[in-house]
Amino acid sequence: MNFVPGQARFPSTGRFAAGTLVALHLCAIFAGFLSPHPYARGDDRHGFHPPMLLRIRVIDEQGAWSRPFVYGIAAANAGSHAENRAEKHPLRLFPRGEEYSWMGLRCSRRLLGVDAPGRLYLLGTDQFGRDLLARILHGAQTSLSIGLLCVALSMGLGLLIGGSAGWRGGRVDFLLMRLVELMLAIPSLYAVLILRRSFGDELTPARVYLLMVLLFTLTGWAPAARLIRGLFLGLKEREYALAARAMGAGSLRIVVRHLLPNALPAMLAAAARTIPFFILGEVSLSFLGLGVQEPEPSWGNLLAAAQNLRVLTDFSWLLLPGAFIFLAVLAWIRLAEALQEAISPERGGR
Amino acid sequence: MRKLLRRRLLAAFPLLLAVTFVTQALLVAGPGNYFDSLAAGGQIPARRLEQLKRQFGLDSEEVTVRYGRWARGVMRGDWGYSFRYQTPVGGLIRERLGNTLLLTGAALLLAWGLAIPLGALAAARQGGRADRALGLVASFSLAMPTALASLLAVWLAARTGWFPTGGTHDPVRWEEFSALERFGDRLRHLFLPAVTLCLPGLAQYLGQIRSEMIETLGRDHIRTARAKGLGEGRVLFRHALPEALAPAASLFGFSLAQLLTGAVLTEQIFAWPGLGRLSVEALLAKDEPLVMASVTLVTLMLLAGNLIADLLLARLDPRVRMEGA
Repeated sequence: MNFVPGQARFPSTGRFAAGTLVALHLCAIFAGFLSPHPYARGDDRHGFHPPMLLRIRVIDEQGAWSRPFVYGIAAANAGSHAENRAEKHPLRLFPRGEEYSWMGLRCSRRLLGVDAPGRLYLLGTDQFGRDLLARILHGAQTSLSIGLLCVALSMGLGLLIGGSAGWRGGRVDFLLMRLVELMLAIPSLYAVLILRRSFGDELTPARVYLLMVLLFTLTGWAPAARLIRGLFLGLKEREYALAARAMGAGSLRIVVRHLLPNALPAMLAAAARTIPFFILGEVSLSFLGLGVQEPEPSWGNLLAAAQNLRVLTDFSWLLLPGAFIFLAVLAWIRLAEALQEAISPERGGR
Repeated sequence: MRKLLRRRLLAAFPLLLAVTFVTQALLVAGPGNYFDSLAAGGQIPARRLEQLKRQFGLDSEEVTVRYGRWARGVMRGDWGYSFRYQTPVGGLIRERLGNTLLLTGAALLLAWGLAIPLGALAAARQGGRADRALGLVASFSLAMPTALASLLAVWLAARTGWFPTGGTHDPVRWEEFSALERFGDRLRHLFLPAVTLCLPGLAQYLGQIRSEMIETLGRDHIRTARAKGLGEGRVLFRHALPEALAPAASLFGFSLAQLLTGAVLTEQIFAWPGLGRLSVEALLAKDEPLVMASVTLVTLMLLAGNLIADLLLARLDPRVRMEGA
């Protein structure tokens, strides 16, 4: 396990995955700025409006080139929106849109937009006429941050439990590992569902968020504990650890100064590998209606909106949140594989 | 082997008790119950509420009392009466259990049936085109959330009409089908949910078997087998594969937990009347006897899966067998 950041060969797929993840997280952070419309309020005349991304034009009706523009939306029934050719709305960079709050600041500049009666639904709208792009980007805030928070907490818990099992050995190890096996055998979704249910329905969005983090951490620490135990078992017999002990170093010093830094690369790879499970956990829970509640968006409850068969076939763009979930999970998996390969190339890792 | 079996069965009992007791405690601790929400909706008058609660054993807020009643009933073979479906839980569960076993069984078979030969192939051609293609497919299917995969499958079915979009059989023409047609109809309905359910597991086992195979193929006895002049197929499947499968067998028990979790979503989306969908509905409606019964069954299925995995491991790896004896 000789992982020297400067020297290790980091596969290019890993760099690509890392780039994708940085981009996704930036999108989540600047969700308000990047989305042309607010995420919570929609125009109910514009329910199920198809994506306008492919309706941005650069040639006007006279056949002449013009700056990119979209046509207005003709009043129509939900799901069958025609373009109103009489109205032309040029795309504007950094226009003043509706107000949103960003890190406690009130802002109104948005990246892209059109002037007032016009609308720019780049990825279409949902049944209430809310901009899907805005909902996906704001949903990313919930879905991605749950992954990061849960992995940090479960790694911490795993370090505490697996670390003490591996370091102490003996009976402590035996008991803690039986606990880990028990946790691994429980189908986590069932456990989370029952636990979630016992907290009732009337919770504020912030409470639901915290509850989800708590539940996923409680049901998800076991693999981390098992990994860290294995690492510590091997590392504590290494010469430098023995030497430190021979020189009279205390347990805490040996663990923190000698074991932890050497276990860290493998722990990072494991963290990247575990994040998808938490992201998918949120998706499952919200999909079943027990996670993030309307009107707050999350990738899970956005996907749940596509559950209806008619919506699925006629308004297929509501599956787009799924593409974002797929992208994020794929990027984390690829990153984990690249990290693993950088740590131990001899495994022929993939 | 027998000792291993006995020890596992003895350990299973307290675990089952613990899981059901905790579930009961959580149900009691949770706010409101089925009849409270009915009364709040004005569907039953307030004075009937107490009577109904007493009748269905919801009048006590003591966990031990409620659990005791439930356990006594189960010992007599009485699983209680579902509030929501207005029928005895036993019959309801039996029907759903069959459907879930069919679905997860098919997915399990598909996942392992594909993972073993493909994993061996990828290892044999390590770094080659087939290996890289399989790696790509594996990470794609691992990254595909079950909910999205199921939705895409339903979308495909609705768009092309090649497959039904849900259910276990054709409700209209079922009666006039011959035995063979019935079998075909079942298979057609089973295909998409089973395929979507098996995807994440398939990717995992594929990776596991591949890396175990690569390690095994580097060992001395494989070189000896090749030096003897054995064909590549025989070396791969008779000499390397059994050895590489032993560690993968420990994944088997885990795979069942995963399938049962995945089945909740798949059943939901494909309108598959199985245990997962039933338990979610029961949980949402606070249908207590149904929740208790489905939790018991899911735990039992998991224990059975882990037991099978242990026996499999003992069969494949003599060291484990000796330890248990």
